[in-house]
Amino acid sequence: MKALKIFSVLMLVIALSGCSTLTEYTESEQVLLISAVGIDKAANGYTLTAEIVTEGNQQTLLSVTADSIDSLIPNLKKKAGIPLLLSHCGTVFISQDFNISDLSFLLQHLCSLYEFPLSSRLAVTNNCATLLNAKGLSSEPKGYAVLSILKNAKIDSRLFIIGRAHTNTLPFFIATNDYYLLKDSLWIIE
Amino acid sequence: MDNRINNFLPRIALISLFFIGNTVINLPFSQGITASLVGFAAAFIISTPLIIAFARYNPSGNTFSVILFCLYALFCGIVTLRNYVTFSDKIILPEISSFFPTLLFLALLWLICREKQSVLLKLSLIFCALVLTLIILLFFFSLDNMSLKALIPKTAVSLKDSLYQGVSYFGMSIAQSIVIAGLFKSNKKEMLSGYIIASLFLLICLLQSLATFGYTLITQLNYPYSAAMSVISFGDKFSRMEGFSYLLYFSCTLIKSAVCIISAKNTLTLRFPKVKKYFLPLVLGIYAIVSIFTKVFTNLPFLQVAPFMIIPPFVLIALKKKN
Amino acid sequence: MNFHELLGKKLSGNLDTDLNFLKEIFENDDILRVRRINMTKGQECALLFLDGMVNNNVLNESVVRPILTFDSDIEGENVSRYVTLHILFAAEVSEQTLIDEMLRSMLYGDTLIIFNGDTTALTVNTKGWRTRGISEPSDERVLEGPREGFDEAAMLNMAMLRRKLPTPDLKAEYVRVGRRTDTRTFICYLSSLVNKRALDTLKKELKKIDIDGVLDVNYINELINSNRFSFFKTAGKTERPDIVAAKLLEGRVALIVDGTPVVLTVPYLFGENFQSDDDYYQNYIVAFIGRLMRYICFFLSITLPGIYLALITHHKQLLPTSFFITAADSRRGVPFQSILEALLLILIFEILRETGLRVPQSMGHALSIVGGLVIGQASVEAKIVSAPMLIIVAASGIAGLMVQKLKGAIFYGRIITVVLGNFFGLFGCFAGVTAMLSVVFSLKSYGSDYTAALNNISFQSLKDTVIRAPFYKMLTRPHSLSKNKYRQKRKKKL
Repeated sequence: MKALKIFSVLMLVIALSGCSTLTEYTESEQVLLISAVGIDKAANGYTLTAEIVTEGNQQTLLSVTADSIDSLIPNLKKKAGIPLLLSHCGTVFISQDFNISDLSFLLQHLCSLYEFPLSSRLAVTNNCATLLNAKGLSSEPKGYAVLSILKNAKIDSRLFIIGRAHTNTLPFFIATNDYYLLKDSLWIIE
Repeated sequence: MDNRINNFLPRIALISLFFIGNTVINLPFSQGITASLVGFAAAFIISTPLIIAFARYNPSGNTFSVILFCLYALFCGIVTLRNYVTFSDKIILPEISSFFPTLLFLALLWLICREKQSVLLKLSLIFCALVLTLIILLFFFSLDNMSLKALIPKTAVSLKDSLYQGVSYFGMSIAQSIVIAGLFKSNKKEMLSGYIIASLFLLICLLQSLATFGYTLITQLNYPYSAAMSVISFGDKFSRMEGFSYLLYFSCTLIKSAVCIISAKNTLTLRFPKVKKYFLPLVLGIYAIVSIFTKVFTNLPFLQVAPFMIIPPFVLIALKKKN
Repeated sequence: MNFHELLGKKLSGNLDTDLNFLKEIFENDDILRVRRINMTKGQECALLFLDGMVNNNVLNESVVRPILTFDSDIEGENVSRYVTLHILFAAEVSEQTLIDEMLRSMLYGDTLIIFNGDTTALTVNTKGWRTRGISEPSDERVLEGPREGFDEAAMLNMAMLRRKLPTPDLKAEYVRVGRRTDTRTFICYLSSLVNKRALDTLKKELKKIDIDGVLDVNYINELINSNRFSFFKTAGKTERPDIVAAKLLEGRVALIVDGTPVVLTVPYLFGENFQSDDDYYQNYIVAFIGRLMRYICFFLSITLPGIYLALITHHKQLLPTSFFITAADSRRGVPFQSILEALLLILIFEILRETGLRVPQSMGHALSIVGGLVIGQASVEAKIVSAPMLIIVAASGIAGLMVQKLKGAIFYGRIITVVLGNFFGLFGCFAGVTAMLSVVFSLKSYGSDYTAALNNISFQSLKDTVIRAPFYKMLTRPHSLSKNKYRQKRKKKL
């Protein structure tokens, strides 16, 4: 009787495992690691440029557009086709034409995404796509390079610090195709 | 040469974990957040005499009291389980459905609830030491992220918000402690010690969450304490400590659910001994169905659930006094 | 023919009849030797012994010579009694009337003397079988401290134990188990300290054993163990007399079995798995480091692969970014899923470990080359496994070697956490560890709680668990083992 009970429990478990979502996790090499995202304001909405780290620490960029900020990441996921790993995003760039309500909405949206790290840095630049396309001094992904620059400069622009303090002053990077540079003064968003 | 647990420490550990329970997952409650500290303090102070009454409560009595006590204990257990499963579904294991983690949790409950009480007490001792150490250590690591200014509310604290916060804390944690009476006869000192320790550590969690995020940002987060752990960084390489929050929540909710089930089982089987053999499989089966196939408690506003959490303990105490 | 077929049978008194009967029992067995002797005044007797089991010098000098050189009258009717009291030079002589008892003694190395006209036979202690001798047990080496180890002869082991505990309080109850092997076992305990529940349980269970043969103490252990499906052992084994003496002094019971140097000690508590013999022969501060490392290594060996799998499959956000990039890069091109990779590596590690134990020494060098270069380096370069996984499994394997006494629990625990960690992430790992903890907390060893140290949290109950308190602080015995609580008196401060 006891053997029958154990056998039936085992069969149930095996049968249920076969038709379940237990094996729907993704391995580490099957995800796209996002090191930085940049959101530019476009004429008819927003453009998101994501820096993706691929094999051998190489980087590639992926862009999507959307009408509203909260549709950008779902569109990015659709375009990528492969699961995205946002939880290692080092820096979030916004363009200098963001206003305070855009910033508040962006913060609210990023906080509602469980996977998004609240300790990633927020920075302003003239054009996010230009910055992320810039050649740069090192082979390190720009999201992490900018993170190091901001840590060394002791500017705390972490998402939750900005959100908590309601501050509208952010570090500002000038970007060209060849380089990006942290300015001494902070950018004020109004 | 005796195998009994002769020490009060495991019982205090169990009581502390029961109080911390699923409250730590949801703390602070999002409505009326600016009054969270005031509500917490008020609930703590006002409930102290009630804790003493709960410590003296004996669940044996007439059949109605016994059944009400059992149903209440099982209800508290299912709410706890459901809170943890929801957290697990959203944060810990978002890729897989909640079916299997729930089954695993129930299997663990079955393993613990069929053994003697000493197993639960020893588990509580180990988990309590772990939980309290984690809370303290992570609080100290989090000091850099915290700001005292964030604790000062920008708007005035209203009575309604304070009441909401106090009632929420009372319903989620304090009122449910009557369930412990079905497990063992705890004395006043043990109950009060466990209550004070748990409240102190819940306060630490609350302060850490509020001081890290402030009142405005925290309303945008679903699990603020877990989020507060995620922003802790230790040196260059080590950050995202929310893994410890998974351990913390797991320990507290497991112990609380086990206490609820064992308490209901002990009380019901004293009155109806024949039920003993079927109780555990039946209850765990019902828990599985309710957890997996219904969305009960996930989206309900707290005020709709609160009467079921708050009223029964008072009814039980009143019935006891009448008898 | 078995002993139970000979139960109750006695000698006839006629020497020829009895000799024929005994020879028939040993039909087709060529090691039986028979020596007929014509004693004084027409009395006849015969010596029976097994070649190779007796000490020929003792036999010749203590038995044959005195019988042959005796030439006086044998007074009284009872020849055997007269020979015992007046003729034999041997130290140990017993009178036997039952044939099965006679055979038992003879089969153990005694010489049997049967007389014409007497139904009583004599068994003389002439044991002369060779033993391995006292040597240090290979699995229980110490840097400092005694290096004696038990032998296969139970009597020699008893003698070694008596030297450690020269007190009349030490009792050794003799029990025979095994229908064909008739294995001699001794239940040893200190009567004023012993855990009565464990003693009674052990005696009761030994009586229930009905098996063909018992060749090692583990046969008995598995036959009487109430925790049949547990990974954790609930009876201690040791080959060292100092360890057995220490355990007896705490109120435990030891079972010495003839034919094996391994001695069983019960009850066995969880904390004993982490105790090393060296702990008591070195400074307590040094012992503390060793103990702590064993606890940490035990935990790591069970959880490390599971946690790593959980992190790379379900909780990628918890890994440091640079490590995650390295792990992801190393996994590119690996054809197996992480869980299969982990299980494969665990299996290979266990194969290497087992092979290392049994391979001849001359091949050990080749084995280390195969293990290191071929399996380690080549498999990573060929992208069969990833480097981080190999390192994690190797680290957990090596950590597990620190706690040899729990190798079964570590192996199964590791598999459970790997499977649960892969499918359920960190929640699965926590669930696996909690399940193991529940099992450990519910175990009993011969009436005592397996984790009795947690029943009464105090310095005295925990003094010999994670820490090894200095001897001047070890005032009491483990509370769950002995009612006789105090082992030393508190000294008043001057």
